[in-house]
Amino acid sequence: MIFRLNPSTGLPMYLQLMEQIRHAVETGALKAGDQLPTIRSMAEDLVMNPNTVVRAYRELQHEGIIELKHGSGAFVSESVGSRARVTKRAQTVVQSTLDRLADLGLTEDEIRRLFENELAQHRAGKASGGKNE
Amino acid sequence: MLWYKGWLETRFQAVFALLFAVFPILLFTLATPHAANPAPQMSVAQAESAAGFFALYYSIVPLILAGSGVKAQSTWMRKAVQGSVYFTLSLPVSRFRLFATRAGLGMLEAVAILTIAPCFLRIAFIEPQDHVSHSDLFAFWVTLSVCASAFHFLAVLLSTFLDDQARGWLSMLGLVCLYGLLSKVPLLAPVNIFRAMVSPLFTHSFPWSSIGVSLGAAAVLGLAAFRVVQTREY
Amino acid sequence: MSDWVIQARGLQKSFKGQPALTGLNLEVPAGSIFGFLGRNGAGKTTTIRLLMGFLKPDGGDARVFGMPAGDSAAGIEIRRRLGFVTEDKDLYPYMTVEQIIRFTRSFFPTWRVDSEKRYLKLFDLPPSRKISDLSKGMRSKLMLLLGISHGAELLILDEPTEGLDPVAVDDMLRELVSISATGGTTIFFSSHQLEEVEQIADRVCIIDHGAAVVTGSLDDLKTQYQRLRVVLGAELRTPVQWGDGAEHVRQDGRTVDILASRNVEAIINQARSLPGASVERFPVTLKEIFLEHVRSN
Repeated sequence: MIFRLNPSTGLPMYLQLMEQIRHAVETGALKAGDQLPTIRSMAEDLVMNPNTVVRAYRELQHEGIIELKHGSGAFVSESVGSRARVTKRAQTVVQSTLDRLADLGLTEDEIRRLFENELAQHRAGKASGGKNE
Repeated sequence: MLWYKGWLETRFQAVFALLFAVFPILLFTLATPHAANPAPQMSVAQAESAAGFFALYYSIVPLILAGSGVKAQSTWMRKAVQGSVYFTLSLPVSRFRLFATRAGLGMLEAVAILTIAPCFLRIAFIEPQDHVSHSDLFAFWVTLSVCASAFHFLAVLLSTFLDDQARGWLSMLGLVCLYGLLSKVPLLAPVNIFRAMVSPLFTHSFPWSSIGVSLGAAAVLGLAAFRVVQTREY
Repeated sequence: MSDWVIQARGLQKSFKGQPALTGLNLEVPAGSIFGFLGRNGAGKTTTIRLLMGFLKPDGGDARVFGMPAGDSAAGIEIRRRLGFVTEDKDLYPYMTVEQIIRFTRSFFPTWRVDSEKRYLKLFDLPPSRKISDLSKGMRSKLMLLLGISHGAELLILDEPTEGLDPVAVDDMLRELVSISATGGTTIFFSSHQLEEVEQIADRVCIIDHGAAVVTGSLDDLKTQYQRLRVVLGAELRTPVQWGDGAEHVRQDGRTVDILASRNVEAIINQARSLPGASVERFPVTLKEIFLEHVRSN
């Protein structure tokens, strides 16, 4: 598995790593039951802080995407297969949405910013426990 | 391995001090090519005076070898050596050990090199008085070393705040002035340390009071130098 | 928390009347990689010298491994357990690589010969080369070798990557990360290279004019700090009093740029309440956080 992180984007490294691992699972590069690199080798390969790797793995465990087996390492969850199916469906939704937005005449940059903004609001809405305008 | 490091730092100074000590022998050998040359006849007073000057000359040896251990030692690559003090201080060694090793090494080197002084006397057949025995020469060497230790620690104290060049010249100048003062001012004759150093050759005994005073002075100066090193900010 | 490897409270130090540290607080947890950032003259090297016991503070308290940093007896114990890379990377120029390794080894009964050999090879240090013939970057690596090989629990590094080319920088960062991952060694390093700090540090402290202006987990800082761009419907006649947390506000016509350190949601709501306003968020890099804090003084 080859991951690439960018420390200078402003996005915390642990979030970037989580994102890349999730993506690997979604695209099937990592299958259910596959073992992830050890914290140490991940940290060394990516030249990143091992505590950050720990945090990413823990959060992913919290989300149910990976399992940390004491003594043996980190493995992709068995239940992740169903996630991959959900993701496939979501992919179709996004594809059709993109087509519609392109028809409206939006550029790629505009679409990206729109999504980022709405995502941020969505996150904030969840955090504050209510719906946003 | 602090002694080894000290040796690496001071070996050029040691060689220079050795050459300095051997120089009179070379001079003498060149000036008087014939062996077994009878020594010139001198009065006791003249002999004492010459011996005093002799003591001054050899007192310079410990000055050359003085150093405090945590200040720049060698003028060679001074900046790098000065900077390396941070590395030395980052080691789990007390400042006392650093100081004591360096000062002790300098003193050991001085004492070793000062053995040349009595050897020179023997080689040159210069006997200020009749019946100067081997034990007298030994006493001379001991007295010379002990009294010179006072000068050594004075130079060590100076080295805690002066760089090598300044310390070298300043301490030599000081020594020469002291010699001048002690020899010219009759009132100070009893405390003429240079006379004391060579007295075994005349009195055939150890000048215990001078030895005691010198050791005391060396101890006080050494302590002062250590206090500077101990409390100093780097 | 008693697990601070380094702890400083209210550290003060002046040189000839000029203040260098004006009340610095610092807490470095065990096992972290801690980046210490600041402009030249901000007080980084003075802090490190105080921690190493080269200087004594005028006020305040500094502890390493829980022991007072300036104390002579404790200092020896502290130095037994740490490795240090100095600012100028000066070693004894008259010694060879081999000699200084033997020399340093004699002070540490816990010396690991396998570490020594590994790093000698990895850092490509020729044993018989005189130190005066080594470049600054190679001396940096040599100092790191000397620090790691005795099994230090803490590494204090003053600008460790200075003078290294990009490949050597990557090598060193990789090694630091490896050391941290393997033995849980705490790494405290000062640097100008924000990208490097951003890459391997999990905690940072930004020092400016002798005091800490930003401190904390790097991930948390990046989550807490947000850049907001507000585009107003119309230019406002009276300037807005932005809420608590809006650190740096710049207005240019109908665009307002805000660097927020907290209460981001409240500020966004405040922005939205303005007529015709739209708000966008952007993540913030360490460089931006750094520049905003050291420039505003």
